[in-house]
This record gives sequence, structure tokens and C-alpha cells, in this order.
Amino acid sequence: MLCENLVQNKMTDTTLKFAVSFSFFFLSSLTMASEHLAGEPAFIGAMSCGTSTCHGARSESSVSNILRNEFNPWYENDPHSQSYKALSGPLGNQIGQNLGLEDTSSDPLCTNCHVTPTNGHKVSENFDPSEGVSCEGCHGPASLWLKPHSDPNTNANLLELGMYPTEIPDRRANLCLSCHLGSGEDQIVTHKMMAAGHPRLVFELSTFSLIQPAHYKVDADYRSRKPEAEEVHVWAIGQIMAARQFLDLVKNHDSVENSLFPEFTFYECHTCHHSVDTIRWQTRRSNPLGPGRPRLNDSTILMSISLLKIVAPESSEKLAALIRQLHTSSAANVRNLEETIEQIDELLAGVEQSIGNFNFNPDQVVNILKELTGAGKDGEYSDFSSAEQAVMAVALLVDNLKANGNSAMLPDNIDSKLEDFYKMLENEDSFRPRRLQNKMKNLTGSIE
Amino acid sequence: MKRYPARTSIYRLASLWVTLMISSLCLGTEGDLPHKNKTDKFLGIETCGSSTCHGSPEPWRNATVLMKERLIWEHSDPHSDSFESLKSPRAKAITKNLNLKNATEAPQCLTCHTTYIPEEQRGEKFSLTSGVTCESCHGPGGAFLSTHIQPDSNHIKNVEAGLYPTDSPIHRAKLCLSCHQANAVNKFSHRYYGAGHPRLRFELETYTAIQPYHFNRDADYKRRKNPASQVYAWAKGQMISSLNLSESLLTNVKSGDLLPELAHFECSDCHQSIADLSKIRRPNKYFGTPSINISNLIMVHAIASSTDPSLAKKIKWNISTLLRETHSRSSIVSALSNLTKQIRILDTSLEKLEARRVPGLTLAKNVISSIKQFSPTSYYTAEMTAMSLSNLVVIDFEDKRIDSEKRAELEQKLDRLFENLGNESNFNHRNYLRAVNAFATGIENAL
Repeated sequence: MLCENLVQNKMTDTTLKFAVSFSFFFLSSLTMASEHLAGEPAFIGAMSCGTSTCHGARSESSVSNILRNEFNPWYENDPHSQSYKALSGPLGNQIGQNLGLEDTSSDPLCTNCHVTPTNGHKVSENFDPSEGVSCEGCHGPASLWLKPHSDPNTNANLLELGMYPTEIPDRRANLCLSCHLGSGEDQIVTHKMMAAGHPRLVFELSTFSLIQPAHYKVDADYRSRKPEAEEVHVWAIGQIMAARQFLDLVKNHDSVENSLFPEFTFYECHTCHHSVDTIRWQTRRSNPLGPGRPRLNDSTILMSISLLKIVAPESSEKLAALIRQLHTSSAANVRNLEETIEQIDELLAGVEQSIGNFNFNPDQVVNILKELTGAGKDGEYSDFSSAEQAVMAVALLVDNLKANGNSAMLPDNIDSKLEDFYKMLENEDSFRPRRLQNKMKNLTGSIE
Repeated sequence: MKRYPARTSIYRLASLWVTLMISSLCLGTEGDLPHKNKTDKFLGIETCGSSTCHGSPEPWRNATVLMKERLIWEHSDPHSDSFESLKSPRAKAITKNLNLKNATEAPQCLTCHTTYIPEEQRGEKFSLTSGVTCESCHGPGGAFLSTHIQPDSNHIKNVEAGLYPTDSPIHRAKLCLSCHQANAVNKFSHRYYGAGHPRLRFELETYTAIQPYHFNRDADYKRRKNPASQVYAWAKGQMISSLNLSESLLTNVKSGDLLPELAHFECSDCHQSIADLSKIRRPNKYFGTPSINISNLIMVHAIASSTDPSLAKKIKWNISTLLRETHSRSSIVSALSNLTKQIRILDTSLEKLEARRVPGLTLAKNVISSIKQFSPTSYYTAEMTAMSLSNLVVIDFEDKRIDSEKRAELEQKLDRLFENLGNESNFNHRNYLRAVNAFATGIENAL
């Protein structure tokens, strides 16, 4: 039940408030065409999964090895169940009108993320797009594994039959990022869509998995069946994969070279979207560019630098040099930028491998926390997106320490400090980097 | 004749800008400009503006000029505060952000905030701390001081000796724009905005008027200088501004930098809040792409409509390309090159405008028609339009085409335009257009 506590602890009111407001907009799905083996799996719709005798039980089961009522939190609290509806809501209509789309509810530009994507697989008559991003959006087309997965005596390998391994951090990251970053093959997100009214994309794998909300409990029998994904590990993998996939998008964006402007979705929104009366720029060791230039959204790379400082110090130093090179080359030309991205990717690919089996002990967690807040003290989170990522990271590391009985390693008033962080992020227009910097300085100084 | 060209609302708005925008020199066809003079001495304001010369508190009996020019400059002209402004908290913040040591010593700042000339050309009484002074615009006193006080001196002789011909619209435009616009020569860029520098705005005739004038355009002035009409000056200012823009953008777009020079784009296209997505403003017909500041180009289109309608059509096509084809650098490059050529062709027909003495209000109608062809009107275009229309009304009044009553009526309508420009981030192009339409009705009544 330890992990049950973890989940509950983690969902402090503020985290929840903060993150739910994010996730409300971020209604995901998946790309898995390449992930599934042959055998003609088909999508059969949420109603096949969510009957009252299966995953739609009225309350949690005390005897089963799963909750049995998974359908309910999805239907009632998980924004994914609203993803289709969002397409015909006020904002959905606004975007459709602006982009000249005939019907946002059927246009692939929208439905590729707002509906369980079927990627050319078969679809049974029970499959209903209006369910939005439903069970199979994440767990895979169920036609082949529906029967064996409920058979206690089966030896079938469900994964081979089309089930998706969401419990494996890097697979889950791939799945979520396909929409929440737009890294899926058909899930491109452009600044044009943003300008038409689409919310900006914010994502952090661990936090967003928990606020979804989770419809499972990691208890003894869960562990007996599946490897447990430890949250700090999930965060670490999530950051590195997000950084790599982000850079890959930047590198492969085909129109960059001929267009007057680069694709602005890769840039930190608030480097431009701030009032001219408030100068947002300040010096930052990770960005040698002077004022007056949009900056690539380097938030996940910044997180990775702090993370690597503890798990791979040499790589961290290299990455710190490369991030400067990244910004410099973003002001040069496409060729320079591509070369730099290749170097960063090579470095991160190695790291991703090496932390594949990394278990973070409490000392390491505290040290990562120190690195993150220390970077905050140095003014590294002057861009709003970095501030968001840093605050989510700090919160989950703190919660991890608490949940594992290491509260003594944290300052007494840590909850009110976290609360202060969240308050500073409530309004993106009135965000003041210096204030966050001061609070980070205060926190980093009080961690043992 | 004493001239008060701009109405109160222009003054109100523009004096606010001007306090932030303090200029000097340097530009385009260099060599022309005062500070490009490499031989003569700059003598300093104490030489020009002593109490017995241009700093005279009392008018001179037989003088053809006011003789109190220095006093007007010192008391009312923001140019005289340009060096002092480098000591302001804002200037300190800007220099810090740009990693410069001290604004009062940084060439990047001094080049526009003082008469920035080499040490060896500085006369005994010359001081950089005086800011943008007489000689910043009129040229080095050392060249023409003795010539211009001769009893038989005249303007032509003075100019030959080294006086800068600020009365000539093209020379004045190049001089003023060398600082009042980001361009290829002064290297002013969005970097300075990012560091906190106020936005550069400029319209030649408006800014000449609100400087304020330290001369009267009276009969004697006209006899001595035979000045071009103010309609011509306005047009020339628009054309030089446009040429500078396309020259600067062309260089920059061809450079291979991933970003074009952002100083040439509408600020508020990017600098708008995204906190409420239902209120995002759409700057042009295309989503997510900032617009090039085409305000001067639209005025150029209006001028062409008056002198050469078929050229106007081509100009329109190319301006539209600038907004539409941002996905293609090569289209932008060719549109800019075309516009450069077309503006040069337009320049040759500008004499027609002068010869026909085209009334200001006729041009005003064309301006209105042009901005409607590039809807929605951007903030900069709205600003440029308001300043231009305001000038054109005053010009017709001074040329006695309309009487003071009609002028007052039109100016009342113009006030509505300026009211819409109060806050860039809240600019509403529909409300603005309503005000423009009301003004257009006013023109019909006045004609």
C-alpha cells in the first residue's frame, strides 16, 4: 500500500489544481501503428471494456487484482473522455472557423489527437469516435486480447496481441508525447493552429500520468504482475525523451529553410507573447543570445542538465555547453542548428540507455532537487515554460521524498513554499522571473 | 506667417512619443549627411547659440530667421535632452541588458543620442553632452559659419559651403530616418527593443512640426529657399522610409539568419497575451505569422494611386505578397526588390504631384481607400494614417483650400482616430475604421 500512499500524497491540492487546469486542454491519444504486430487487431470501443461486469464496476473491487471501475474515473474525471467534445466546444469552433475547417469533429488535423487514432486498423461497429481518447487510445486495439486478458488461465502474451505496455516509462512517454508534444507522425502541431486558438502544449510525464487521474493502484499484486515504474524514474525518462523528440521535430521541420520565419511552436511562447511594457529578457548562463530574440523552448533540456548532474556528471557538463551552442546556432542558420541537435541527440541517446535501469535513492533525489533549485537560484528559469517544468519537477521530487519517509530531508515549511511556486505560475502574463528566482534561492538554501 | 501645423491631438500623442525618441543622424546615401563630413570642425551650441546669434532672446530687426532657435531647441525640442536621456534608469537598464558598460560612453548609443563625430573634428566649445544639436542636422559650423554671416550670403552659397539642406525633403528624410527608423545603416535592431529601448516611430512632416519648428515658413523663407510643397515632403518621407525598409529587410532575409529582423514587424502581432485564447488578435489574414510593418508602403500605394494607377496596382500586389508569402523567402525577396524598383519609378512621377498641386484632401481620400485595401488595418498603419491625414488637412488649410471652420470640423473627426491609438495592445481596427469613415464623410462635406 506504500505506493497507494504515494499516489495520494502526490496529489496535493495545489498540484491537482495546477495540473488539472493544464490537462483540461491536453487531451491525448497515441500513435501506435508501428507498435503492433500483425494478426489484424481491431478497435472495438470503450463500451466493450467498460461494462459493469468488467472495467465499469460501480466501485473498486476488493478481490480483483485491478480496480475494476477504471471506466468511471476516465468517464468522470479524465479529460481524455472530453477530448472529442472539445472539438465542438467554443474554442474548438473558433479554431475550426479560423483555419477554415469544415468540421473539427471529423477533420484528421483535429481527430488525430482528439479521438483514439486507429491508424488504418480495423474498427468494429462498436467503435465510436465520440468517445474521444478512450481505453484503446492508450491500451491498444483490443479485439485480439479482449478474451485472453480476462482469462485467468491464459498464457497468451497480451503485448503480442496488440496491448500497449503503458507501464514501461519510455513506451508511455512515446505514447503521450505523440500528442502532448506533437511528435507523432500525424500529430503535428503548428503555430498556425495555436494562433487560431489552440492552447499551448504543456506536458510532464509523471505529473500528467498522476493527474489523469491514475485509474490503477500500484500494490503488491500489481508489482507481482508488472515492473513498477518509480515516479522519479518516470520523470527522468520523460524529460530526456521529451527533449530528444522536441529536438527531432525542430531538426526535421521541413519548411524552416525556405520560410521567412521558423516554426514558432518550437519557441518558448512567452519570449514573444508578453507586453512590450514588461521586458522579460534577463541573462542566463544556458543562453548566450542577447535580448530581442525568441528563444527555443529548452525547458526539458534544462531539466535534463540538472538530472544528469547527479546521474552522469560528465554528460551534464557537455549538455550545458551544447545548450548554449543550440541557442547560438538557432540565430545562425539551419545547418548549424541541425549539427548541434545531432550532437545533443547523440549525448541524450546514450544517457537514456544508461538510466534505463537506474534506481534513484533518496540522496540522489535530494541532490537532483538541489540541482534544480540551484539552477533556479541562478536564474535559469526565466522563461515561463522552464519555470513550469521546474516547479512540476520540484513538486514531484518533494512528494517522492515524503512518500518514502524522508520528510526530514526537506525544510519544514516545504508545502507553503510549493504553494508559493504554484501561485507564481497562475498567470502567465504577470509571471515575474526574478520573484521565482528569489523563491528558488530561498528553497535551495534550506535543503540539507 | 506663423504655422501651427499639427492639431492638439497630434501634439498630445506625438509629444509623448517624442520624449521617448530622441534622435540625431547617419544613413543611406552617406556622405550627404552632416556627421559624414570628415574635414570640418563642429563648433558646438555655444558657438551657434550665443545670445548674440541664434540664442537671442529678442528678435533682430532685419533678420530673416527667428534668432532664438537655440532657445526653442533648449526648452521645447526633445533633441536637446537626448544625451541626458542616456543617464535615465531606463537607459541604465538597456545598457545592462545589452552588456554595455555605460550608455553615455557607448558608441551604439552616442551615435544617435549625440552629434557623434571623431575627436579631431570637435571644436573647443563642442561637447557631446549637449545631445543632438544644431550641427547634428545643419552640418559642421566650421564649414559655413563665416559664409553664412556675410551680408551677401544666401542659402545656395551656404549649402555649397557645407550647410546641410534640411529644407530639401529628401535630405531631411534621410537625415531624420538615419536615427528614427531601424535600418541597414544605423544597425538599430530588435535587440535594442528587447533590451528595453522605446519603439521608433516616425512620419517626416509630423515630426518636423512637433520638433517644434524653430523657423517660420513665411514669405521671406519661401523666397530664400523655394521649398517643395508639404504634400511633396510628406510623400518623399513615405517613400524614403519604404525604401529603407525594403533595403534593410532584403539584406537581412538574404543573410540566411533563421529569423528576419524583427524590428520591421508589427510589435503587437507577437506581443499580445495568450492567456485568454478566445481573445487572440489576428494580425492579418494568415494565422500565426507577424506582419511586416507596411504602414509606409500603404501610404506609397496611396501616392501612386494619385499619380500612376497602374503602378499602384503593381505596388498593391507586392505589398500583399509581403503579408501572404511568409512561407517563402524567395517570394519575399522578389516582392521587396519589385517594391524598391516601383518606388523609384514612382519617384520620377512625384514631380507630377507637385506640378498639379494635388490637394491634400484628394490624397487623404486615396489614403483612406488604400488602407481599406489592406484590411484589417494594423496599429502602425492606423498610426501612420492618422498622422498623414492630419498633415494633409493642415496643408489644405494653409494653402487656403479649406477655411478654419472646415478645418476645425475635420480635426474634430481626426481626434476620434487618435483616440483609437491610445493603447496599442487594445487597438480595435473596427472602431478605428468607423472613425476613418466618419472622417471620410467629413472630407466630402468639406470639398
